[in-house]
Amino acid sequence: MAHDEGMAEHVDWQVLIDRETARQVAARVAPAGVPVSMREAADAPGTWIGTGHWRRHVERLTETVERAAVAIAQVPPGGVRDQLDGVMEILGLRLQRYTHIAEVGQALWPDDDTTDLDGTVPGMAPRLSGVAQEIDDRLSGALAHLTAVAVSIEHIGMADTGQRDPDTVSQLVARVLEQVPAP
Amino acid sequence: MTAKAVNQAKAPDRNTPDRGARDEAARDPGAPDRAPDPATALGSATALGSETALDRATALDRADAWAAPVGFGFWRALYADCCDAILAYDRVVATMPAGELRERLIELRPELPELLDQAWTVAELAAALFPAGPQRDPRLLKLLSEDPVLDLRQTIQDRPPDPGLRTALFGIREQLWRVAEDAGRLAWHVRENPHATDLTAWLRGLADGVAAARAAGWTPVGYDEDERPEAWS
Repeated sequence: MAHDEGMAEHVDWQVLIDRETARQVAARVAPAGVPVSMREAADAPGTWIGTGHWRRHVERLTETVERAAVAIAQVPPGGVRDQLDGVMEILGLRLQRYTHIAEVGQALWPDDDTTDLDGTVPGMAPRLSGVAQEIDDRLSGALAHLTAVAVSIEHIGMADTGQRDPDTVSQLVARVLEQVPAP
Repeated sequence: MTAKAVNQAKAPDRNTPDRGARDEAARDPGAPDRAPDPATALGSATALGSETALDRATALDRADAWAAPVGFGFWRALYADCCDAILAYDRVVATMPAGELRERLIELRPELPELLDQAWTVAELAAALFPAGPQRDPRLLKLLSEDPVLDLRQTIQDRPPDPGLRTALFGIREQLWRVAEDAGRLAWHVRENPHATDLTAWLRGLADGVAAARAAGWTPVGYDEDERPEAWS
């Protein structure tokens, strides 16, 4: 009995070694890292937005929305503040939408800073293509959009409180938003 | 340069019709030879195929890359990439909100293992005829390097064998990834909102409004806190 158990243990160990060997060879053959289906559970793709590239997208978007929230909080109550509160609500919904899109990116082309097997070192952006690249471009566009909105909100707030010349701000906002891609 | 950096430098062109980058990577003879200790690899081919006794249909449904007896290296990595397409499809569908579209994609899922079955057959045949691709297989490299007359590693060809089987497997992989990509595109677009508010026009109008109000001598600085309507508190 003990002998059988020893044999079973030996076979499992052998399989483990072989898989590791196959993974090392695959890391050289497959350009995008070790295929997900060849990894151990510990190196499996992170769920939701993962821990790498797609999470960084969401973090940058969140920071931008927070920047807008801070600017709005400094606007005194009034008609302008009312309008900006409405804008803030839309920004929150928009952030949710972009987060869902980032989640699709992670599902399609997972990138995690918690594993070395995905072909990128932590903090490094993967070289994407196809739909994953399109989603990446979409999120970059979204960041440009939200940044322009946050900058506009800051200037409108300053114009509202008399810190900046409203006419100048009006021109500046028009110029900033002109460059912005569709939301 | 780390192994990861090396891999990163080879553009992963998983999703476009031109998958030349992967082909190039697969046949790259200049890749650093960091094969694992062949001593542990020698005689272990049966271990990699030890799960083939499992129900093949179950293995295909689970997209289990280890179940197919395709040895080391090139063929296994390529077959695993086919499995990855199905796993990506599953992950993409899992991100989708409940609804008709998601149900439809779930209904289509059972058709994917049939395609993977073809990949299994081709990869198994290729691995049997050309085990692992000689230039990638650490077992063969070890044997070739130990030849007493000459290091025979220099004599092996610099491209994976049999372009026919390789092309067939690339084709199946292409099809599987196209399905996963399509699912990804749907999952993305279902999250878009075609009726999104035109925030830029709104802000532009607001900035103009502030300027106009100022010009008219009215300051929208704010309500006097004492006059603040109840609804605001």
